[in-house]
Amino acid sequence: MIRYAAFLLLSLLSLQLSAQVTFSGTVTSASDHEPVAGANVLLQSKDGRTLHGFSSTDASGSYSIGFRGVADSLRIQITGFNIRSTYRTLKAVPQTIDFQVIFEEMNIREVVVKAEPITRHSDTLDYYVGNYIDSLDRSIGDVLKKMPGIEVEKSGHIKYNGKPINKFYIEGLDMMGGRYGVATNNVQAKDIATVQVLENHQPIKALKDISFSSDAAINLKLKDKAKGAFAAVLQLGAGYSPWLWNGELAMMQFASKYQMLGTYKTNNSGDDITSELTSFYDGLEDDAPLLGVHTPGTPDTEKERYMDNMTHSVSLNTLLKLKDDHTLTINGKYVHDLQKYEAASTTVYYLPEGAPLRIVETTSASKLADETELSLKLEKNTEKIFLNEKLTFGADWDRDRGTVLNGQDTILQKYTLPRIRIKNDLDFIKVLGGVRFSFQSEINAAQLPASLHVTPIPYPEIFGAAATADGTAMQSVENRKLTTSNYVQTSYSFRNRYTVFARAGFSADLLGMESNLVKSEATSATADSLRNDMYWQRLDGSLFLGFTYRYGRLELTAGSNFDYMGLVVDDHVGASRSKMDRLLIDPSISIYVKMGPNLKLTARGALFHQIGASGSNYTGYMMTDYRMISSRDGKILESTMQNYSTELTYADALISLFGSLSASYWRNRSNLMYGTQYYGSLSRVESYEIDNLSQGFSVQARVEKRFDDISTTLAIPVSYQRTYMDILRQGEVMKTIHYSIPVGLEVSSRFSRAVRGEYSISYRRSQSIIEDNASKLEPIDALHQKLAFHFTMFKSLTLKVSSEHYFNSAITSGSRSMFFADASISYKTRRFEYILEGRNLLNTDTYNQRLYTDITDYEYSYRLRPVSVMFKIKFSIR
Amino acid sequence: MNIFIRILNRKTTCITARMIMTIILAVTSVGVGGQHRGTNLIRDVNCKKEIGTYDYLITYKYTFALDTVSDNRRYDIMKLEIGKDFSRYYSTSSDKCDSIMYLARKKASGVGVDLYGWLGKDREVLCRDYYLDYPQKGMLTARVGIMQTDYEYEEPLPVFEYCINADSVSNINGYQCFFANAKFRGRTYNVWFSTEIPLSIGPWKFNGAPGLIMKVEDEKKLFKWEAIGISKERGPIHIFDTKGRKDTDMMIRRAGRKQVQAIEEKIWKDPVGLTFEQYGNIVFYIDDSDGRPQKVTMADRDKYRYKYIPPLELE
Repeated sequence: MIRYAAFLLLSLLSLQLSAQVTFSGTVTSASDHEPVAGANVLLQSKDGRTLHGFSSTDASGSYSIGFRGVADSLRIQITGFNIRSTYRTLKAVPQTIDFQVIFEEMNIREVVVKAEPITRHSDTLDYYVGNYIDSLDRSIGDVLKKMPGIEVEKSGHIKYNGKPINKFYIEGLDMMGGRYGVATNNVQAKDIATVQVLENHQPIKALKDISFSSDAAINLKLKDKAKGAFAAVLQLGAGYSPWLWNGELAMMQFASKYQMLGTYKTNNSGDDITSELTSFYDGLEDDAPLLGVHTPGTPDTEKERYMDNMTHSVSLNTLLKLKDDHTLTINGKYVHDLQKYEAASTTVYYLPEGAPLRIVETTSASKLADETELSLKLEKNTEKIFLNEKLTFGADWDRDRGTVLNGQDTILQKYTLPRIRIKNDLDFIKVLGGVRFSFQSEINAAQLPASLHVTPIPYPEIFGAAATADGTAMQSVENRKLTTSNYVQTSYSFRNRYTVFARAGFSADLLGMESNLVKSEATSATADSLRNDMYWQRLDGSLFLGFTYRYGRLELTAGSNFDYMGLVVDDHVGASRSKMDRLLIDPSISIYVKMGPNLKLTARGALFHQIGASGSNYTGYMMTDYRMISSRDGKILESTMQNYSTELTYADALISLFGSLSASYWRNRSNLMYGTQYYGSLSRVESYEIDNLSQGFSVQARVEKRFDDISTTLAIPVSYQRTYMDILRQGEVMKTIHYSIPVGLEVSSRFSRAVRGEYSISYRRSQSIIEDNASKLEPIDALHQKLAFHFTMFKSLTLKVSSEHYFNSAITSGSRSMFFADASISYKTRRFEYILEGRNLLNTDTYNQRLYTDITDYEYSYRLRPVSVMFKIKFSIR
Repeated sequence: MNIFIRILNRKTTCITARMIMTIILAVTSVGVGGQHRGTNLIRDVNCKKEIGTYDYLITYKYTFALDTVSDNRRYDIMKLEIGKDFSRYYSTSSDKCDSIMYLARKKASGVGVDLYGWLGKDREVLCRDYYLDYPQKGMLTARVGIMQTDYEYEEPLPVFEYCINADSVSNINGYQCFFANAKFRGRTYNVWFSTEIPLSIGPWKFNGAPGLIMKVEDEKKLFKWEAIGISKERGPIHIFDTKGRKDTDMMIRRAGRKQVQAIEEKIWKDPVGLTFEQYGNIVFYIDDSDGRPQKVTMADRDKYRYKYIPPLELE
């Protein structure tokens, strides 16, 4: 205290002793010598660190500033609006100092406003990209992954709160349709200002508030500078082991009346560039071919670890806004893809009696595909009218080859499928007051002529008692298909609470199938047992009656479909005709409750009948795989399916907490069973008329929380599935149970501006159980962990290191644990990015996997890509 | 006492009445904070007039108290547009509400508009615009929106006497900042400014420091401004101007600073009286403590009163 008082006294004395020093002068412009008014005059210590006082110039540019203190020298600095700062160091004696200043634009270090990461406006959530993006993120998909509540798969497929989204918009326009993965993976994150999640999104404006949707959509809102600007990214890469290439070009432009996104990608480096071209909800019907080359199961790991490919892909998408609220969208894609597979596997089929059947195979296969698709869509989507006319054309050509080493036998296979598909969708809705009229039509046509050649002949005995395995078995199948469904619907809303609706429809499924199984050197006509000439014709007339009731936060929709169907199946080989008529009544109910702004409950229940899926019955044998031959007896399948599900979702933007809890139960009763008869490693599938019931339930939960203060996102997914099913093998029914429990934890955190880390762990226990059977299938425990760190240095240099661990408790040959390490380093300038990437640095050569599919136990060892290094250069233009 | 005001203005046009009803319902549904949100003017975007350009844009988070006893604080995000000759300081929330209303009116779907749904917790809409060195050098123009009127007053540019603590230096937003005290109209403020950005200006009415004001806090910790964004960008400076416009119902009234202060005081002191003064002959309900709407007449004006809302200027 005494010391403090003494210090104060001394300070006062020194103040008294030191006389005031006054500096004065004028500030004028160096260019025109005019006085500068309002300039700041700062009186500082000579090092500029201490500010002793300040003043400003008057209208005549004059200033005067006093200093009372002890100093040898001082500094006077002149600053001001768009004035280049200038200063002079001078003795602390009264003097006149004039300054001449230069006017120039100031350079300031910008400070970017951090918006609140998420805001909610009714059913819309705005995620501000600036809060999630960091220097490592390239595509908007990279950033979407970090947003709580949103999941993104490698294909670009997006889920919100555990459910797939129903639309993907860019600036409110749906250019991509279901093939939005191209946009997720190629639109640059730095161009996006906000990602909007539109909850309960009804894409058809004329049905808004009439037809409830529990699905969400995503809308990307561009930064102003990206609107209308052309942007392109070109990437070229080369590497070794084996010699590798990787090239990508993406071009895009999103203007208010025109949008375009085009990509060309090619590589042989294992990078998956085709799955983003998949249509997630509105593509052509994917008719699974009945035949195929035998391929091994692929590892449940990243594709770049194992995929041996040579791929070229092109995607072109454009949208034009036309007059009168119409939009025209054109989407096209082309893929040329060669995939090679190589694995050793053991398949164990559990049988009702005796030892299980064990098949050991070494499989190698190559699949070569050319695939093209083009669609044109004209749409008008307003609150009063909705029109959608979409025509899609697809042509594919698959040429596959395979070799299987099964014991001492080497089996060669060759498969071809040229496929043509056409689809037309027409939807029209008109609103007149409270009444809505709508018309929906869908037409699908497809031609699939497939052939499979297998050498030697797997089932020589079916060609006659004397036949030998020498030569080639040739299976050909020609499928022609035409399906159409057409509906008219009207709805009427009244009292703001009720909507009643009725839908009448007509649909037709016409399918012709001819198949032939012959020996290569066959001279005589094919036996009837080895050929099919079938024709299915199913005609349906249906009426759906339903209503929606809304009260406050509750919305209930219930109704029933009354379907009168007639099915005719002509077997031209057996010269027989089967007919069936049925009235099918399929009721359904759904309830939606908005329990609060963040909490929503949805529950659904439905019953539906399935009759005679076309192509499900044929009497002649067909070789569908090198060791499987099937016939389907001629009986018509009838099944009744019941489905019940409920879902609770929570999305609180303020605290960035998202969660969903869902449960579902299903049961299916059917009159037919497809039984397998095993003869050594060969099998035959036939259908049997046995009433059977299968059922199952699942419970799923996911919680995701973002801790903004520590830039960390935490997610915990948990689920449980249990299925009860009857399986027919060797003519006996086996009652089976299968369950799986996957649980996980995902953490992603930005420790500092320079370091980001990600860790995920998932564990899955699964088991199949056969009731009253000596064979016991042990549970399989599988674990996967991944740890990755990203380091950013000097803003432009980034290093990424990651490691992965897979464990499977049931592996019997080879290692149960597999480890992987990858690293990449990249240097980025404004337009260029240089990337050096090392994959599989531990050179792990095989991936071992064991799993159960129903009561089949499958264990395999898949050959992986070797250690590789690749150098890439990326160039972006805008 | 948590009271909300519901208004149905019979004089307004059909759509406006519906809009106002929706606004008020939105206010009531928001619950907390209704008293402020409900007393805001929504301005007619059509009346925006360009009066100059700015070269620098500073964003401030303004945190303030709605009473002097609790620790509850609200905030708004304010922008300061700095041009060569004058500047504008205004609320981004208010700006957004104006835009939402403009778009809703343009659409005129009749389904109403949720004006405040986008606001997060504790965010407020302050309808306050301050123009420094406008309409001429050395003058300040203030616009204070209360209910349906934008009150305008002018005063000479206030002079702040900054008392610099020469040794106190801190780093804010990566800029070296000096610390100073300043007394202004009954309150003492702690001010941090950076001479690295030689713009003699700050939020609200603050000016005259030899560098941009990065942070201000009053000694009682009721008010705080913090710069959260600094950018060099060019854009137009606007003012709402209804002169010569017959197609708008926006009202701008000139008044004295003290008069405006008195009207502001009524927001908490006499909300019923203020509502009648602003809207005239209206049917008017206030929810009682059980949430039941009670019809209110002029005779009830002394019955309803909010807690004291501390004003920025005490003199």
